[in-house]
Amino acid sequence: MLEIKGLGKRYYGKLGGVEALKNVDLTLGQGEIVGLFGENGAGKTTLLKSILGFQSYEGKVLLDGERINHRSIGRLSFATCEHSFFPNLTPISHREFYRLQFGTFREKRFEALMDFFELPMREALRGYSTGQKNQFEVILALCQGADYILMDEPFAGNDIFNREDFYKMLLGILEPQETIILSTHLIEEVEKFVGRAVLLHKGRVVGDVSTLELEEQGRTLMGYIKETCGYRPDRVSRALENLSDL
Amino acid sequence: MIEINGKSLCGGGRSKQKVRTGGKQAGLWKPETCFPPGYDYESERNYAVLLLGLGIGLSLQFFISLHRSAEVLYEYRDREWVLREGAVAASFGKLVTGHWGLYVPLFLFLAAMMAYHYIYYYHETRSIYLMRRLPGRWTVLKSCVAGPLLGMGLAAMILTSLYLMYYGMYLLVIPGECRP
Repeated sequence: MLEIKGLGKRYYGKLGGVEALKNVDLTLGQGEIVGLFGENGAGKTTLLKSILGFQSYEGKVLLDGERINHRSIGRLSFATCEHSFFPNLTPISHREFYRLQFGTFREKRFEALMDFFELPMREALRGYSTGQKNQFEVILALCQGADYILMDEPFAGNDIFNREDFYKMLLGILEPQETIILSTHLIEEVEKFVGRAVLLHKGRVVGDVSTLELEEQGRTLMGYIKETCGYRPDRVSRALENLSDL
Repeated sequence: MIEINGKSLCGGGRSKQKVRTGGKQAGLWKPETCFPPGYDYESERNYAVLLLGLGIGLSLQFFISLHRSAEVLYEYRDREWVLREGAVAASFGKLVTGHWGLYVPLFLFLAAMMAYHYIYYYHETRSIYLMRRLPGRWTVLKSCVAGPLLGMGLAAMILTSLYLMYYGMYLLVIPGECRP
């Protein structure tokens, strides 16, 4: 179980401090597929990076009751739109690297996914297209053998068919102990894929709901998010009206 | 130490850059294990060798200093070269004074490379995110400093051998009674 207790993060700049996360409490059980939603700057990436220990924070992040350290960090993997692979290396070299670094590396899954997405094994990753790079980034995260797979906008730049394939593939290959935490803006697309939606707004968790619950209430995820985050649908029409008055 | 097993593979398709692999293969130590994965360590090695070579090349002026130092010990008397009475040669230390400055660029370069190796993890991608998730606590640090430290160690060994040889030459050329 991954527990986030009272997580806070403040960035300091020339204009003073900005609170990116405020007292975030979350518990993520094994086997969940959690969507992390929120507007730009809501704190999604900051939350993921804090969980991974890439930056300092206030509060606690506990993995099975203990703080994450170098012995347990391998139980977390990360796919980011910034990419975390080595651009000069080939997938073959990455496979060898992961195999040596992570005893839990899922080689068969790696081969199968590489094959499914028809990614060249012997080409340096800097030669891949953006879509292929995203695919490879996610493949690495899925094959590390981690229990908690954190994804930050992993499909930015991929076409719709490709994304659809990925969701289906993910649902097919995930094992019961594998947890996905997916930060994305593609709300409608992942609605059928995620089992739980966590909403961040201005650094706070403002919503945490299961998609089944929403379905039973006859609500859509998009509707729930708009409602919870206080989206004003008339904002555009009013702005356009004001503009036409000028 | 980063250990990547792999064969040398040629970059194909759109990538014209070298494809880097490397690491430990069947127990054979490979230099790339001391550098960040995929890093072009050969260029760095070449620059280091060049700086070391330049330093050593310039240090050859020791022989000129040694020759001058030996020359003043003798005088030409009765058709032969004889030692001047009470003549004292410059010490070995004095002859090589200033030589250390010749190797400062090499050591500065290697020290700068340690920082560059860390910056490398932010180049093109954020591979630092992967490195920081590795179970080895010191993996990132090792990948940044191991290569340059190895280079410094090797350079120190080569320079020690070279200056031992220079000292041997000094002992050979300067008579015992003329040494300070």
